[in-house]
Amino acid sequence: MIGAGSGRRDDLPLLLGNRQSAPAIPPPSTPVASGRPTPLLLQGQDYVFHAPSGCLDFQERIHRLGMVIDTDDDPNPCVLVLARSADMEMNELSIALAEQGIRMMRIDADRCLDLALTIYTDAPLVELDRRLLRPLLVWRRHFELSCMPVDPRTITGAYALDQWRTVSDWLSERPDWAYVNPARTTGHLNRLTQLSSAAAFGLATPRTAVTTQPGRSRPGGGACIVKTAGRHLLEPRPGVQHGLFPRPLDTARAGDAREPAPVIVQQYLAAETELRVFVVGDELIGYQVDKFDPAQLWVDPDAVEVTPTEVPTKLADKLRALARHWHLQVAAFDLLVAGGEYVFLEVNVNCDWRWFEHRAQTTDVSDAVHRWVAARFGELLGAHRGR
Amino acid sequence: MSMQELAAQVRSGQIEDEALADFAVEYARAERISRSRKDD
Repeated sequence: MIGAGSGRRDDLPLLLGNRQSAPAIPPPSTPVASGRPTPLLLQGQDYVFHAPSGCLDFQERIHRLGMVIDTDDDPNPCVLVLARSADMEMNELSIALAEQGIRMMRIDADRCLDLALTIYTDAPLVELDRRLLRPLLVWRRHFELSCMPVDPRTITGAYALDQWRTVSDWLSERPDWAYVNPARTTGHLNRLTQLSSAAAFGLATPRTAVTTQPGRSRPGGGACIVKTAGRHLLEPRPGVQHGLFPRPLDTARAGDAREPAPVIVQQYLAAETELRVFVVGDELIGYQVDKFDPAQLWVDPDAVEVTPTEVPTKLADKLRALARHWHLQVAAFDLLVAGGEYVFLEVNVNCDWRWFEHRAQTTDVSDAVHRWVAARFGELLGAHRGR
Repeated sequence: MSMQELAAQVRSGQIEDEALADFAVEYARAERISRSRKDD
């Protein structure tokens, strides 16, 4: 958190959300232009977030302003981050690494159309804004092409997207760089592939189905919730994110209607509480999350209670083992505590932690992430200089 | 000025340069927005 600049509170409401604590389920037959019913997860969801864009990376700003002179190392070893402007976790990392004299270089998907960028293929070097840098550690998160300000229906828009897709995927898997949460091993992780691994490591999981007919599915036989198999936020227009949040399944209303795409239908488990556990290297940081319904995290986040909590050793061992299995260095597990048992819901690779820290009034995860990145960079720098 | 010295200015709020002060204001605004919003 930085110490300057107080603004008016009324510059905040870019969030136009459904503020109800328990979202009502509207009738399922609202037509859309295609003549099909509105997909279940889009019904009654009026959460829209206008993501701010513009350079919020401290190191990029001070270098562009010519306020700082780089060290004598040329090319300068650095951490390369592929993200988007509004990724405040990475914006904060930029300041934290600057405090330690570690150079960070940033490519944001929503600001990448006017970059002076050359990436060498025969050497692990990148020239950005006339500065030659040597990435030692690369972290890609929230570098989603859907936020690139182009129209994919035009030839120039489709061209820019396709070029960046190929190059960003290559940057995310180069064998001559080290990675945080390497895409090579984490790219396949989604809510569905995670469940079987979690069960194999001894964690309980809810009964789950994937279906285009949610009204006909009732895994576990009782109440169920419907979840997206993909992202929680869709960005059909660059910078405008629409929410797709879990909701109770009303089988009477869903009927036999077919969805245009499969969704997750999952057994509803009455839980004593929920846990979010951050894994940072070998360190675990736990928060207890108390909310009234599954969507409240997004539609009414201010009403959610977040409290720091210890992670019991038995659970910690399983989460560390799973993180190692998935090659995750920084990630967040979501779990239910139901009947005294820990039930795995999902692991978030591109996890946010600053919202949880803000609610809990701590900086434990940020501190751990900054420490871990600096230490890993130090190891890689030592190895590089020892060559 | 070194990167560390500039970062220390931003952390403390004791900013001498106008352009850096502008950045700090933008940053604080983005931070307030992000606090109101859960992502993943």
